[in-house]
Parts: sequence; C-alpha cells; structure tokens
Amino acid sequence: MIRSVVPKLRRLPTVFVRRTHFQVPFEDDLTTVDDDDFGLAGFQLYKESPDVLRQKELLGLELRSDVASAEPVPATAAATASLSETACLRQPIIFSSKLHDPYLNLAIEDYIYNQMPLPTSEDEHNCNRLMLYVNSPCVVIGKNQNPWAETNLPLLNALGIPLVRRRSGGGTVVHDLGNVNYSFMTTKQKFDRFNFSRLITESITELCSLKVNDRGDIVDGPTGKKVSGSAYKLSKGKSYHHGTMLLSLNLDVLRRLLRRDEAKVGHVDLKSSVKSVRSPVVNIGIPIDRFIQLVSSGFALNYGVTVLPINELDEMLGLPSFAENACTTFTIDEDTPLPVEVLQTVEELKQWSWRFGHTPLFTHTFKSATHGLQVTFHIGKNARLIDFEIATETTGGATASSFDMLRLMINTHGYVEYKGSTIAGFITDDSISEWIGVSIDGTS
Amino acid sequence: MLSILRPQLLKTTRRFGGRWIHSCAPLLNSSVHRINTQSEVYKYSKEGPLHVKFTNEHEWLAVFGDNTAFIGITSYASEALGDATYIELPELGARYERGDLIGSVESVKSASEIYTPVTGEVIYVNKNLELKPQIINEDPMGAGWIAQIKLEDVKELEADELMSETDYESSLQDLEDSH
Repeated sequence: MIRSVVPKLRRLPTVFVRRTHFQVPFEDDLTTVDDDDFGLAGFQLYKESPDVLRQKELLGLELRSDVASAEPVPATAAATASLSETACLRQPIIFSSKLHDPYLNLAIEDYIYNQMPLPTSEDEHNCNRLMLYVNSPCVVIGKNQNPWAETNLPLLNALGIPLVRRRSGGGTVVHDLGNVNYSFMTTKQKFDRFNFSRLITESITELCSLKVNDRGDIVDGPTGKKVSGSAYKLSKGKSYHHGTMLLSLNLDVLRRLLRRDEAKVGHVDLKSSVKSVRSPVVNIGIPIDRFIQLVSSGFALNYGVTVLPINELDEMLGLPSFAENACTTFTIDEDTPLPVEVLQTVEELKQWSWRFGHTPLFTHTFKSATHGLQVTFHIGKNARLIDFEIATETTGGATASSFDMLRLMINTHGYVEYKGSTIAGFITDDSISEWIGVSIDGTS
Repeated sequence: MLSILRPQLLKTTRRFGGRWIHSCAPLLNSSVHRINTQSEVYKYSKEGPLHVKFTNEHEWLAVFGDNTAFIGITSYASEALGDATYIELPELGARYERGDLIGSVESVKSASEIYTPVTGEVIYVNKNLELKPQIINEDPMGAGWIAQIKLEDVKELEADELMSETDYESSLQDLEDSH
C-alpha cells in the first residue's frame, strides 16, 4: 500500500487547451526570412506601453504581470511536484488517479478536498479541482445509510466485494472497472447541484445524448434512465459534487448485489437513516479514456486558467491575445508517494466502526419456518446489538433457550457488536446459529 | 453551515415552451429569523434568550443567562437545504472548540456540515431529530434546535463573526444581490 518514498520525475502532464481568441497576424507567420528580408525582426521586441497594459488589466484581458511571472507556466508547475505540493496550488487542477483501490481513491479525494485552497479576492482565478478515478468492484453506501438495508451483505461477503462507506450523503452505488467516478470541488458559494452535471453532458454531447433531470441526475436522453448517480458534501467554505458514470458497468452484478430477498436476509426497519431511491440505470458505452479526456477538456474550458502561450516567440512578443484556457493534470499512480494523511484516512475508512458502526439505529427481523422462529434484533448506536425479542411457535423449549448466552452477553457488557459471526458465536443451537450468522452478513 | 445559499440551489426546473427553465422562489420574504416563542428553546427561561446571534455559515445561537446556548440552523439554511433526511448530532458530554464540526444535516442528496461558533461542552442534544429529521424544516429556529452547549468563554460571543439578526438579514440580502 505504501509506495516508494522517492519522488519520481513523472511524464509531462496533459494540458488541455482551447484557443479562445482568433489568431492575430505575426504569430506563426514570423519566420527568420521575415526578420531578414522584410525587416520585421523589431516586432519580436514589441511590448505594449504600460498604459495599454494597465487598461487591459482593468478590462480583465490580461493576467497581471506579477502573477504571470510568479506562475510562469502552470503546466510545468506540477510536472515534478508531489501530490501534497500540487494539492495546495492556487490554480484549477485535474487529478487523474490510475489506482483502483476504492479506499485509496476515496482517501485521496478527501485529501485533495481538504487541501484545496480557497481563492482570496486577490487571486486571479479559481482553485477548483476535478478528480477522476476508476475503482475495482465494490459497493459504496452514503454517509448515513444502513448497509444491511441497502445491500445483499451475505453475497458481498461471499464474493469478497468490499462494502465502503463514503463521507458524502446520498444513496448506494456499485462501482467496477466499467464505471468512472468524478469529483468536482469548488467553494461553498459556487456550489450548484446542476452545474457540473451540465458540464459533463455538454462535454460528451457529440458521443451521446444525455439530459440533466430536475434532481440534478444525468439521464439517458431517449429513455430517461439514470447513467450517473451523484452525491454532494458541503463544509466550511468548500463543497464537492461527486458521482459515478456508467460506461460499461456490469448491470447484472449491480442488481444482484443490491437485491435483497427478505426471506433470506431479513427485514430491516429503519428508525431513521437515508434510503436509496432506486432508479433504472443504463450504460452509455463510451470508452473510459475518451470520457476522461472529454470531461477534462470541459473542465479546462470552463475553469482553466487563461495562460500566455508556452511558445517562446509568443512570450517574447508579449501578445496577450493568444489567451488559452488550460489546466494542469496531475496523475496519481503506483509510484506516486502518498501523504501520510491519505494513509490515515484509508485506515479510518476501512474500520468496521465506520463502515458498519456509523449506521443509524434500526431493527432487523428474521423468520424461519424450519426453526419455527422469529427473531427481532434491536441495533443501537455504533452497530451494537442492545436487545432482541424471540417468538417461537412452541412455547419455551430448546429453541428459545439457545439464545440465553446471547442475552447474558448483552446483560453483562451492555451490547454485542452486530456481526454475523459474533452473534452466531453466542447462539448455542448449531443450526440456528448458522442460520442467523449467514442471514446477518454471510459469516457464521 | 449551509452554504450556498445561492438561489440556484433552490431552483426548480420545469419544462416551458420546449425549453428547460429555472425558477427561483422568493426566499427572503418567507424567512423570519426569530426564535419561535412557542418552542422549548424560547421557554428555557421565562424571559426568553438574552440574545440571539448568527454565523455566516447560517447557524443561530440563542444565549441564556446561565451561560448556556442553544444552537441550530437558520430558516434560510433550512429552506435552502430542502427536506432533511438525516441529522447527525454531536456527542452528548463531549467538548467542542469554536469552529469544530459538531454534526451534519443530510438532505435530498447533500451532507452539509454544522460547526459550533462557541467553545464548550454539549449538555443536551435534540434526540427528536434522530427520529424526525423533518422538524428541522418545520421549525428550524425552535423545535429544530440541534444542541445545547455550556459556554466556556462568554467573550467568544463578542466575536465579529457572530452577527445580530439585522446584520444577518442584511448579509442575506447581499448574498441575493451578488447572484
């Protein structure tokens, strides 16, 4: 997990560029021939008078010269910088993660969000961030959701698919390598549920026809089926909008992971907590690289810094009219040294106390005809079993007494952690124990 | 807490003449930033709160003579957030520093964080919000209070960040005007 600590020189980041002004004469037209034969060499030294420059500054047509010289070319600024240095840069940046570990990607996203500087009034431009990443198969639930109610936990455990709880609100989503996750970060003042969804649909409009519905979700134009699920988080001064984009996700697996047969996995009664709104979904079928490229261009176009051309000649000419909207991309891969905060967040996100323990209060009821038994578990704060009731078809007898140990444990310690294997361990009848453990989460 | 408070958040999209248009409800008219006099917050003391302060993160603070304060989110914030689905409360008995995160309000699809403008111990949390988060929409400046805090340093109340009702409402007007 911990990568080599030696920072490596990475490949030059991609710079997405869109010319926003028309060509003016002399840029590429000036050659040595012009200099020699037509006496135009003097134009290379041409600089506008300070008055003109000041006027242009006022009109917002040109970067202030001091800022421009402090940050000569944003594209190179991040070329050799570390993730921690880049995350603090006062300019818009795209972070592209080549990692597939969901915990790592969520932790990096969190880190970039926390480090994002807020633009001050003197700043020339925004400090927005876009992070793009693809996770290996996992199920991601919202901050205040109940994993027992949202997913088929026994199946997740049987398949070894991690259940991840994110730090933003909203509902449950399934990730795999056919899904791209985007995360758009900006200030709290600029928060808008619709803006980034629109940016995405506009960026890929040449490839598919999508719409943004009144919930802010991106849906397929013709069918109205969801192609992206998004969630939002607002903190002091900052906000993010992140979401999934279904390109070629295995929808059959998605359905199986989220389908709950109450006869097997019990009925969950949520006292409070956030229920997912289930919607029909469809893939948009665009290759991942193409999607990432188009959305990155869209971000650069809308939020990129207007920079002077990298072309030396243009710089010498000081021609401000070649303004371009460009944006640095920082690529995170196996060789990127990760800040210690990221690794700490990974550990926090992996804790049972966060993934399961953060669940709001609920009850979980199981019925078995075989055992002639109904059990209702009361789960309190921190996913702790604090009480239970049993109803048997036959009064008294061995069935009810097989729960005596569990009752004793609750009475002694106040609670038992709500894990299938732990609960099953305190049920003395083997077949009931197996049934309960498997039904809770597939462990016994 | 709430942000935003840009009108955009409150927009509703509807189809009009073949185009999607957005409309924005007139918000300020419906926001009254007074503690509900019928609520348990107001009735905590016979005379009502000594003073009520506001933050630019849209929290309110109702301070009482026993150096405790109730904290909640403003009507403006509650309207901007939309229907709350879950309220995360601070830990009873825990001590929080000024500016610390003490909870969050999850609504439609966002999780919005709440910060305390004063340092102190949480002596009471509004358990009703756990089961009925919608109270925060129905009566944000009364029954929808989030926690009661025992103030450690009353001087914090003089901080510039804490606004009076008039200042807060004019800051909202500025927000509206700037968008």
